[in-house]
Amino acid sequence: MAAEAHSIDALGQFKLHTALGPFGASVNFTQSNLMMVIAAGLILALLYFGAKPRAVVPGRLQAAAELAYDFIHKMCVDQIGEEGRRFFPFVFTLFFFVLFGNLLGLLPFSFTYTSHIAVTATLAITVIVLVTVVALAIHGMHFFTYFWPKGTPVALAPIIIPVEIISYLSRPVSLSIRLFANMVAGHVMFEVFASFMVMMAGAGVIGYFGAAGPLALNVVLMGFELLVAFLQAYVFAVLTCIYLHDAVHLH
Amino acid sequence: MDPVPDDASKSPSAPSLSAMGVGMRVGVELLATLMVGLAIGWALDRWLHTSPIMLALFVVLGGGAGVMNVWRLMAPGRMPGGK
Amino acid sequence: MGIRLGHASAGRWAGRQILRRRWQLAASAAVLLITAAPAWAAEGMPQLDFANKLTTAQVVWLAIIFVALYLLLSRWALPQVASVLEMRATSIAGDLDAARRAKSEADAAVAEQAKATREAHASAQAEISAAVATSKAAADSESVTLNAKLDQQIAEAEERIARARAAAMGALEQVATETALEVVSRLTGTAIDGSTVNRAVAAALAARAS
Repeated sequence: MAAEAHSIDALGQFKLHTALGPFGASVNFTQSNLMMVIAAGLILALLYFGAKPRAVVPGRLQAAAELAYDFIHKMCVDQIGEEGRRFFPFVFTLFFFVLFGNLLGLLPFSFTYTSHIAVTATLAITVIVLVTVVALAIHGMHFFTYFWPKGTPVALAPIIIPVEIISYLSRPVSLSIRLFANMVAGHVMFEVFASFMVMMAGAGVIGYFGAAGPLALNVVLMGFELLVAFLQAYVFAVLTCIYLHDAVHLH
Repeated sequence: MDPVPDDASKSPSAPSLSAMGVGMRVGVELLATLMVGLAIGWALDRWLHTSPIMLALFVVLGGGAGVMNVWRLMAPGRMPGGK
Repeated sequence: MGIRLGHASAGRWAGRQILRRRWQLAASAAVLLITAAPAWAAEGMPQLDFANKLTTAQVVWLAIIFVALYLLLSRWALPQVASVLEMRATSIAGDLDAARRAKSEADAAVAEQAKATREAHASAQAEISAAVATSKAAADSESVTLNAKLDQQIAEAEERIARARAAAMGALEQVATETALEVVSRLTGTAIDGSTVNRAVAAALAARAS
């Protein structure tokens, strides 16, 4: 077991290195950022080529672009209310940036930027800063009553207020950790099963049959990870919408 | 390698996907509030030179906030994610 | 050390001491967590290697890419999709409108048709009843005149009969008187006074007539 653990480098896949040769090296442009650019390009391409035919009866690509638009638009309006239209572009960007990051990470030789806590934390902090700014802009100082729920006994104030503040501040932390942990877990499992497979295959003829087990597991895992990729992007976007709803309506 | 067995427990062959998701959310929620409590406590200790009073206090408060968040998450008849 | 210090200064109250002990436990657990995390990071997770300048650089590039993506999406790409959706909505609404208008026109035509039919029906009915009424009136008046004429004719005829009867009666009286005179003169051979015979005949006739 110890020997195996030593030979499996499940975390090496998350290591950053510069991309695009000497140019990337000079500006510290990593392969993670390259995947971000690719994801952004794909999102823009989907919408551009999707909207281009301007057909009343949409083709496949157009249907996909419109579905994407409607899905997030509905989410914003359902979760936030009519004010949600203002945040629609932000939620759209967030959802598809995370979704494409998750999905592109499942391709071979790619890199999952959502498996970096620095990336997910930056996104989550952006969300929480936006939420706080929106709440302050709409409600002003009244925003701070958020930490003092109605009907709480005054005697409990020294406990409730810090608890509410911690609860509020834990939002970006849980948001970023959830996405990060899900992505890391999936990719570590891929790597571990794949390593088992290689080890088994290295053990000779019997090993070839033995290797089928981890291979099957990885195939199942791939389907599961596709689901997780969607689910985590969805959770990220929905929680953003819920936080925005709280900011707009304040209780 | 700490994370490997830890993550292996979240295998795809888990009985129920939604139960696993709920467990995951609860775990993340508790961990997040605890971390925020720790961070606030640590920062206050550094600032007020009261180590480790604030740290201990805010770990407890963080745990409390975690339980409250989980309660809000699970309480029936509420919106997901709190009020 | 800090833990011991805190412990010593709070040693007076036993209850608080127990509380402190709990805090100590929590604190030491927390310290364990905090000290464990960097060790763990150093051991493996490249994500927690914040000393690596690439980790920071990644975030800077992330910010640039994310903001660029947001601006491109909100200013350029999303409005395009929105305009397509809007175009569809307006065209569908227009089609629906046209269809609704056509339907209402058809409905109006049908209603008009039904109304015309009804009117025609009613007017035909009216004409029929008018014709019936006039013909009935005509028939009535005709029968009235006919009746009058017939009555007149009957009256005339009756009058004629009455006159003829009267004449016949007058003639009969004279014939009876003459016959009576003749019969009497032949039987008796004596002439009798005509007025006596007249009286007797008149009395006989009157008795018969009654």
